[in-house]
Amino acid sequence: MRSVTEQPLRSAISGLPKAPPARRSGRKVLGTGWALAVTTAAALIVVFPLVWVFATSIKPEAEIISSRPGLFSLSVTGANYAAAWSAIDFPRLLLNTVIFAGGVTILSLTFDSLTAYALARLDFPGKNIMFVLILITLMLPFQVNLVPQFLLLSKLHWVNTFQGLILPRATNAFGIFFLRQFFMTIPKELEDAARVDGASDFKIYRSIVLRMSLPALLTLGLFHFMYNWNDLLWPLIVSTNSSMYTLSSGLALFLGQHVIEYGLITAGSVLAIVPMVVAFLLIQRRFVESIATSGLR
Amino acid sequence: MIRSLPRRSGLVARVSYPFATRPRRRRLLIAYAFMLPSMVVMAAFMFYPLIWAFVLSLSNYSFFGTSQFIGFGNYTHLFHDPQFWGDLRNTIYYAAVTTPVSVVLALGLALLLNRRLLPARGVLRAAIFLPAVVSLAVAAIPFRLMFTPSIGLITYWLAQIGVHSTDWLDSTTWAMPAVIIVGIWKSVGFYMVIYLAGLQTIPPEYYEAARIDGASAWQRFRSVTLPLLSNTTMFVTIIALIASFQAFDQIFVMTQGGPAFSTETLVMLIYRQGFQNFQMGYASAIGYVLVLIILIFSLLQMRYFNRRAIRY
Amino acid sequence: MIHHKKRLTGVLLGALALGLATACSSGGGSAPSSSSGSGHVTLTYWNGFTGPDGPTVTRLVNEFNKTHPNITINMSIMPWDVFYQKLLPALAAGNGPDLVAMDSSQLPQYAGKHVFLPLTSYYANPANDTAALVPGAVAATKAGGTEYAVPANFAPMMLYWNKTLFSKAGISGPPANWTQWQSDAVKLSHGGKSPQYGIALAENNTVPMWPVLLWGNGGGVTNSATTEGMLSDPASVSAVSQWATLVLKNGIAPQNLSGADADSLFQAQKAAMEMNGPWATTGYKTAGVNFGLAPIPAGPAKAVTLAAVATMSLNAKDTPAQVSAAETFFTWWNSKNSQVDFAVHTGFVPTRADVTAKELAANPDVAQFESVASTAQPYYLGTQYTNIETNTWEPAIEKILQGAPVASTLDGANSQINGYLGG
Repeated sequence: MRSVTEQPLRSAISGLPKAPPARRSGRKVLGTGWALAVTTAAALIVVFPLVWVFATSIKPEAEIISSRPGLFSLSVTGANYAAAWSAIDFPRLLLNTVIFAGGVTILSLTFDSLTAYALARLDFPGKNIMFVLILITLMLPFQVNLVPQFLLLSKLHWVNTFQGLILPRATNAFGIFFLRQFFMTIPKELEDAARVDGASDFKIYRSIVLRMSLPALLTLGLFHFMYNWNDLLWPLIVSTNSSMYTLSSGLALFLGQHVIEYGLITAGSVLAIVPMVVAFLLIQRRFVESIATSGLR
Repeated sequence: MIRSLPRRSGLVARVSYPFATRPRRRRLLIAYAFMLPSMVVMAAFMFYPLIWAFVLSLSNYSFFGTSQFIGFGNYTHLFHDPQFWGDLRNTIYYAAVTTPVSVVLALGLALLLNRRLLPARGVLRAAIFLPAVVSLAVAAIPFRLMFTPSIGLITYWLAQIGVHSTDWLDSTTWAMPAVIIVGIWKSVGFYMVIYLAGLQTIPPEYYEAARIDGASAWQRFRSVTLPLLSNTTMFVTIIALIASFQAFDQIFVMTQGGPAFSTETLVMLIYRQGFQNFQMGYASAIGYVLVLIILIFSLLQMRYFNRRAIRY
Repeated sequence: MIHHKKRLTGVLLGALALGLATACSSGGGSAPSSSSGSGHVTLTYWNGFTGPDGPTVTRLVNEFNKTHPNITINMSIMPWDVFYQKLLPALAAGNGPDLVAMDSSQLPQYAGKHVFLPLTSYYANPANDTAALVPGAVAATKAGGTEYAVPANFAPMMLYWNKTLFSKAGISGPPANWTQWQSDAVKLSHGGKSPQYGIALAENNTVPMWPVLLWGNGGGVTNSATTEGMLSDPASVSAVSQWATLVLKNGIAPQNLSGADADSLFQAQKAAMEMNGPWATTGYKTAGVNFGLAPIPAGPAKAVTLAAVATMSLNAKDTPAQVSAAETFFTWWNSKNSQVDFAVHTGFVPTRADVTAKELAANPDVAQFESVASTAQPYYLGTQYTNIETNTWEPAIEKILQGAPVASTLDGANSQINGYLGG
């Protein structure tokens, strides 16, 4: 076993004798059954409030807060969905949201991964200070950031524009931190080998690091997309015209000062969540596939 | 036993031989070329506000009229402000519970949902991840109703079988646990997915090797999984810590910091002082104290993980 | 080596291109607030009229734009908390909206910073028909005695009472004075498996309910000139004492209650009474609550109710053309036609005192609310609103409802208030 550590990792692994395939022993099935029970219970508990949201969205308004609380009601209606669709200009808001979330995700993945690579793999003076500085930007509460950011946008005349919406978010410390940690787990031997072959840093970044980080990139992409899809406050701050609003911001209009329009907001929220869930389920599957194909030769 | 594993975590990444031999200026240039796009954006939209906010914290800026430089006046005022200390206590209470609980639950669920044999994994993962996808303003609505027994769903049924519960959100003792629960609910799925990404980078051959060596499930977890996850764990705990210190959304929607300020956190105080009372200079000072506190905790955590990192 | 150079220049060029692209593309639709030469005036209007009122307000503004071809109002509706987070930096940056609507209790703070235009000349001009406005609504537009706004909506509170629960408890009608009110509340409360409360009395995040109780007894949070606190006055102490004892000992209301929960309680028919504004009628009706509306029972000192008022103000930086365009809008908004339309569709009471019940026949609830408009006063705390309300009064009443001693807590709060007002 000791010789393993002296060789490049991957080739050493492939030299191991193949272990006998895991038999589906009784203990394994029991273990799986127990795991299934626990995770299903957890999922049900977690999902319960959202089931309420869905159930409310198909309930007639009269029954939502009534003297006899019940989760589902006998009368199912699509009226809330129709109303939510027309009350806010749904297609327009959807488009804005896709542009906003998509734009931020693409830019962010690019910029964050470039920076993360520098911080993870390139040694340069001031590297650690830079990293801590970047991390500090995460620590300042949004409310304090908000005023100078808004003032800057005003000066640039970027208020109520897409660039004003997207560019301040084009990179963020979370993404940089996340990818840096991930890049540091990629075995150095691959990069060293490539360098010996004369590859430039950018080539290494593009062909090796990025390719091996597909699950991380997909995950981060999903996070960025979802976080910005859901963001309520920032689009409302940047836009002064409701035609620039995103979905979540548009939905906030159903929260009145004195009255909450339960049916409308739950129906609108379901409509807004569905694309995200679909995206997640798709990414989910790509994860496993990408590990299987990219992985361990 | 597998003792020697490649080093994963750490603040300082040791560099590979060829790059280090290049001249220092060249290295700097290349590194900054990579970081340029991010730096441009950050300089404008993150570093500039950071500095601006600090300058603000040294003044009595209140949006209108002239503002004067008052040195550390805001900071001294802060230290004598009982509201600040109370909110600091609340913030630490919130963070001290939310962070470990979310991280441990996330790890546990990730381990369970990483098993190849588990049916419907995708659906279960999606279900647990779902809270992260919903906006808190919407999610707070059913939570309010659940926590208010007089009109709530669960409590109605509970009452039918004779179990009574108090009005969580209107009690100074139970309001904070209520918002903590919502905070954990929202973030567990998110951290779980990060752990899943980390787990999937562990080559299964390591487990095979450990199994051949005769290691039990728990030993495999302690000697293979945990060490190889230390990078991810450091990331998750730091992110969770930062996020929990900045808790705002669900508290704003559910309790507005009440009752009697029992759930008011420092960020809420910043909002209140800044936007309701116009005292933006003072609010910025509070913001900076918060940054300092978070920074100290984060650095401590990084030291901790650094020391426990596996080395060659 | 050539690889490095290429790579470097590539990145630099890319960054440069990005920079150029973003600098060149100018914003589309950034808030315009200028008047073009032809005499056409554009006004940006920010407010927080979300919820069911929004569509009616939008419709009315569109109608104004159509009927006044050389004025265009660009309205932007957003939730109130976003509104305040945007308004302040925008005003500070000098490009705030031309026209703003906000809750009247916030007005004095902004007026005190001189960001809004005093409207004395508007009120002095008889052509603007301001004499027809409800006195309570006009009172809400004043800060330090000067008018800084025009009423946008006016909503007095009434007592909602659940007819079904009343008859079940054997009470024939709504209470007319405090004695009846208090005894009814006790009769209508019971604990047990399915607790019921006499009244949904909220004290946080709500349209003010406790202050109405203070006023009814001759007390108050501050005096009307907001020069000193009134919480230590015997009238205030007695009012709080009476009602807090009823809550704590007789359980007429949950110990602490937010406005939203109070509404839900009444809607779920778990509370028999609630003081609320006209916005709640639609929701309760749809939920099938058999409710009646009654004036808030007269207190020992007087019959009084609270009016929630939203007011419209002008940015102090508006040009004269914008000011005159805005004033046209004000007069149009408060004209009889617009107010009847608004009232009938939203349930708010017209801001004018000269609308008859017959004209409001399409929405009979409005007529009922209008009948109490003369006794309605706004909740006015002057420029120290946030400090008094959020920092002092609300925590004090919350503590009292958790069992703190009434007199000493109120005394402490009162000195704090005097500190804010005196300093």
